[in-house]
Amino acid sequence: MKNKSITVLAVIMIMAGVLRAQEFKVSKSSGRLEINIGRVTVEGHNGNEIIFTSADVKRDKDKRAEGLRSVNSLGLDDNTGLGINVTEKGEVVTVHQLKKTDAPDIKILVPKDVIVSFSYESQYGGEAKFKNMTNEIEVDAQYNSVELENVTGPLTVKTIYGHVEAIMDAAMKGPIAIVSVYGYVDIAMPTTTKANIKMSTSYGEIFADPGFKIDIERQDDSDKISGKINGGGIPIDLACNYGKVYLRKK
Amino acid sequence: MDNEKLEMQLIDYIDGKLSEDERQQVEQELVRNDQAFKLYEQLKEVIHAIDKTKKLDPSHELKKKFDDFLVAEIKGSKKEARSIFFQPGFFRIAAAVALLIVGGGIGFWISKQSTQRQEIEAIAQELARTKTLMMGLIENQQSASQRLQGVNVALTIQNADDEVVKALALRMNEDANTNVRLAALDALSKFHTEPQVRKVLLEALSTQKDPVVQIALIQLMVKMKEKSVVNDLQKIVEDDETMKAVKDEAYSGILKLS
Repeated sequence: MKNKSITVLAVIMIMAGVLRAQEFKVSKSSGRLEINIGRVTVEGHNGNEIIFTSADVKRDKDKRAEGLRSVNSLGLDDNTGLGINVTEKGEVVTVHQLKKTDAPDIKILVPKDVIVSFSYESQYGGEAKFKNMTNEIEVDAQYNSVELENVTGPLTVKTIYGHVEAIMDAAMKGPIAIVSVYGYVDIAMPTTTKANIKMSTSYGEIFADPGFKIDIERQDDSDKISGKINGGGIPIDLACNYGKVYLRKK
Repeated sequence: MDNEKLEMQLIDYIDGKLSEDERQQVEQELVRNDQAFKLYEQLKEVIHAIDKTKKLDPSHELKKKFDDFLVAEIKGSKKEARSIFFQPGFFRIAAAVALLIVGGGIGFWISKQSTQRQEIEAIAQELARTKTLMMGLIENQQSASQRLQGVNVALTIQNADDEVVKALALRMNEDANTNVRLAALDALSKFHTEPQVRKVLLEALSTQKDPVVQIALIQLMVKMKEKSVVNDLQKIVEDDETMKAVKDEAYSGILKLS
């Protein structure tokens, strides 16, 4: 009886291990992580490994493709079992997806001193999410929308068609630069933040919480606002062409 | 009898100007004192030589010339004297005060010049430090935010030199990160009235491939009322690879500039 229950427990644990998303680890506590996949969630953690997991749960399987492998124009193989290729070269770890249109949903845990760079051009993508990070984050996107939550910066974010939403941690680090051509830029931060802020939009509007006392430098150009918050500090640059800019209180 | 007094008495003795008593006194001294006698001999020689010298009377003509000259000189100097020396004391005091003020002024000016020079040197040093800081950050290939920070440092520079302009132009045209390119353009636009910067900006309009930077460049050209770029804008509009947002901005630019 006792032996039987141990066996059952062991089987359950093994099954749980298999069912739990697959994992791929790279030992790295500094340098750069370059992410070239259409859909991703990146989170900070205290370890010294970059950990990739797949969050794909129910996804339409292509029965015709069973037993075949996805062939990539860069000549890359799936060396992770997650539908992505991870290559380490010197200080840089590069991640590519193998399929063209069907971006896998990947979650990546990164140590806090790794610079995270997201770059994606194709329109077949989803959102790029970044959570609980003190890392430096770079985003260079065409269609992806970008969501940042509980991040300190520094941030350099660009998207052409997507929008950007950022909820900043109180311990902000500059510079913070966000630009979207067609989307909106929405940022929430404490009103006590000391900053040199620039906000601009060509064909949109600019809104800010009344809690922010912005000492605006008067200028003729109606597209641009620049001024100091709480006497000045970190540079924050929020720019849109067709979208609106929102500055919220956190 | 000290030498000086003796000498005087000897001269008078030779000239025969002494009283009887004094003469006897001198004669006694001469007998008693060898040195006095020697001195007497010398003086006698000199005085005789002077007496022997023919008295030189200036010619009448020379004398007259000299007198005329003297009169003229006296007249002239009297006139000058009037203009130089202020007669009432008040003017002299005023002159003294004026001199004091001028002197003080010059002193102040000199000290101000030197503090200005020090300030200029301090500014030059500050600029050099800022430039070193900027160049150090701007070269960081690992971190876009460090490069962005470097470009932001450039915004604090009042007068951009060639080196700064070149570094910013390189960031605007070549940087892998759009935000860095955009910030470099922003920094350069501050100096757009300088010919070299204007040239860099005009060149960038036809070479720039980053749509976000293209839009910002076109907007800057419109603000600069740069009519010469209409042809470049036309090319951007006709280029199939141009993004729609960029084309729209270029159209709008052509309308505003022509």
